[in-house]
Amino acid sequence: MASSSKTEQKKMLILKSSEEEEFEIEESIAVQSGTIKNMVEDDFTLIPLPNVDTETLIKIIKYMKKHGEKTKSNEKDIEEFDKEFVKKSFTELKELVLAANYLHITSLIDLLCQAFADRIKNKSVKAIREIFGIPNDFTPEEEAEVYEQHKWAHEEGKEHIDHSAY
Amino acid sequence: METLLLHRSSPAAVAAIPNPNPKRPCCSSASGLNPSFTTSSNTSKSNIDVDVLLESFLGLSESSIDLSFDRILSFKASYSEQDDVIDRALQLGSALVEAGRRSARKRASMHNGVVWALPSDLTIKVFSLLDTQSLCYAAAACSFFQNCAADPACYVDIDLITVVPRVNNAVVATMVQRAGKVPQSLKLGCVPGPLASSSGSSQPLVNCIRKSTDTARFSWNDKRSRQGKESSILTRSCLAPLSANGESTPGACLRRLHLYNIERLDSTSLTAALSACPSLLDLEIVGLNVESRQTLESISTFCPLIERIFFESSKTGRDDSLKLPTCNDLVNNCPHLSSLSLRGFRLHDYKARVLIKGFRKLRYIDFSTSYSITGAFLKNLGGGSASGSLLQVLILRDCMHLKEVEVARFLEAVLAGDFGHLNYLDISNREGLVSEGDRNHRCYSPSFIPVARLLDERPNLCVLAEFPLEGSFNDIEFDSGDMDSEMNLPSHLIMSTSDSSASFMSISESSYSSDPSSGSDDSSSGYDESSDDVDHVSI
Repeated sequence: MASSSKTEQKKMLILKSSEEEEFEIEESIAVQSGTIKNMVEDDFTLIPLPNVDTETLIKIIKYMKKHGEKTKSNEKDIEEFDKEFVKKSFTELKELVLAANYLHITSLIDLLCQAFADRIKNKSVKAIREIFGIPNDFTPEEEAEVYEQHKWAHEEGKEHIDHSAY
Repeated sequence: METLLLHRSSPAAVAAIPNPNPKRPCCSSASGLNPSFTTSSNTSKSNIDVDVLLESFLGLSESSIDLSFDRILSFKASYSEQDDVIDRALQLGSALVEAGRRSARKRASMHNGVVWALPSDLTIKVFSLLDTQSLCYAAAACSFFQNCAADPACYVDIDLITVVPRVNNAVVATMVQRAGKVPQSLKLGCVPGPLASSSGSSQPLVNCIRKSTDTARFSWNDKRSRQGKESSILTRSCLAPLSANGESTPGACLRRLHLYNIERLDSTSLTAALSACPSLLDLEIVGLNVESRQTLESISTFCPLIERIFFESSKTGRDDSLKLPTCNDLVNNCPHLSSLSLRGFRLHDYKARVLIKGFRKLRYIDFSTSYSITGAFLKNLGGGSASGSLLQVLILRDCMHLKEVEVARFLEAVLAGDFGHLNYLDISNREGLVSEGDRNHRCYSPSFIPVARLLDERPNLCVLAEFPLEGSFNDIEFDSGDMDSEMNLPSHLIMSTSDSSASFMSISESSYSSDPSSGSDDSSSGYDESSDDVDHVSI
């Protein structure tokens, strides 16, 4: 599970957050990010990430480190890690997915999108608005139209729909 | 830009209330304003005038507006004049309210962008992971969501399964249309129970026969009560959208089609739908009024790529239509079939045999609740490189005529090395198996199963043999088709062994006692000898 012990070949990169804080990371792990990979190919070793703040960068590095050590035996372990990883507030997840999008880390984007989807699933309209803080910007006519379009989904009597924002 | 309509009079203190008496003193701070006739935003000067006027109005307190209004009214000479004043107040008041609301909405939209923060492509990605019902809820949350939810990518997996009948043809048509040319999966119908849809996995919860007929009855009653209201049920043409659009049919890319308890769908409509889906890989049909022969013929004609068929009859045990030529056609035209479930049909051994031998890639077989099948088809099946040797799962639950002796024979073949890939066998039967010798006697005990030897020689094999104690019906739910799934089986007899964990066996004593109420007194002697009677099948 340890990365190869040929230390002379372990190239390190420095990632700099938007708040100018620097973090060292192995190149082999950092290239899980497509963006970073491109920059490495252009011979960068100091990689400025003006779109990613420190807190988010720390989490992303943690993710990449965990996933960089993926082997056949610790798949379950990584699954557990992923499960815990998405137990964050909506704001944090939001920052993470935007950063992951910017950095082109496909597996992380997928994981976070799934986390969002899981939070939207089976929630009522009201709950969705509350959870994500989204105000209703429909006119009454527009709103009626939207409900009409999906009338079948909005009829009463759905026991499994959660009307509370957790 | 909206401007307030001002009448030809000096502006009053309150916004644009017509004051027919030009001598009325103007208390407005907007002094020096000339009467304006503007009804459109032609002159900028009048625009500015209006802006100034409105702004100063917005600076007034509500009570002062109130009092001023009363005063103005009191100075009106006639009743009709007062009426006019009041009407104007109401009209203009609501114009102002509407302007305010509109702006609030605009700001809300912008605020959404900040709060939600995900760009469209990410939002669409999230939405594409939602089941269709949740998607509709999300679409109703705000305009941005509504736009994102209209993207075809969200409709790749259309899941319109509901607990009660709620979806009608128009909904299906809309969804298919929204998916553009890329619907890959369509699930339609009514499924009772908590899990109406499986999130993302291709294996929905299996209903046992009893449940599906209950649903059919239930939904029919519900439909009756809905007569007179707008139809919210699926009719026979509900799948027509798949064949629409002439050349480029939406059905062309469809990989998965699951249909549950759509009473009005008949063979003709189903055939038409299947003919539009040449890429179909996974077909699941439960509780439809279609015959096995016609359906399987259609499949073999139109869906050569099919890999999984799950077909549960709506007329348990009475559908006898499957004939040998159909089996042959199916086998010849659909070589890729790896999972075959035919439940609740009148299936004979020789037909089962043709099917199993014919499909080279068959891994999963479920012939539960089949009538007529005795198990003889299992003879001489799995030897060497013959077909059937890839078999991993064999489920023969509640097959009324399944003979204990045939099962025992089969198990001997397994022990002898046949069916090397078999890892799951289910022969549970709520009425026991047919005892040897006398069809009127049932075998209720699994003691004919050579447990110890199986544990020894086939440690990977899980055998489920649930027989009733009191003749009670045991309802087991499990994931179908998934070889690796966990089995949460509360039964009183499970034999399961696995590589890594210690093998365990739990056999409760009570399962061995024959149930006196079942009336088969001989069964206790029957199963002790059964293992002696087993023939050793030569490969």
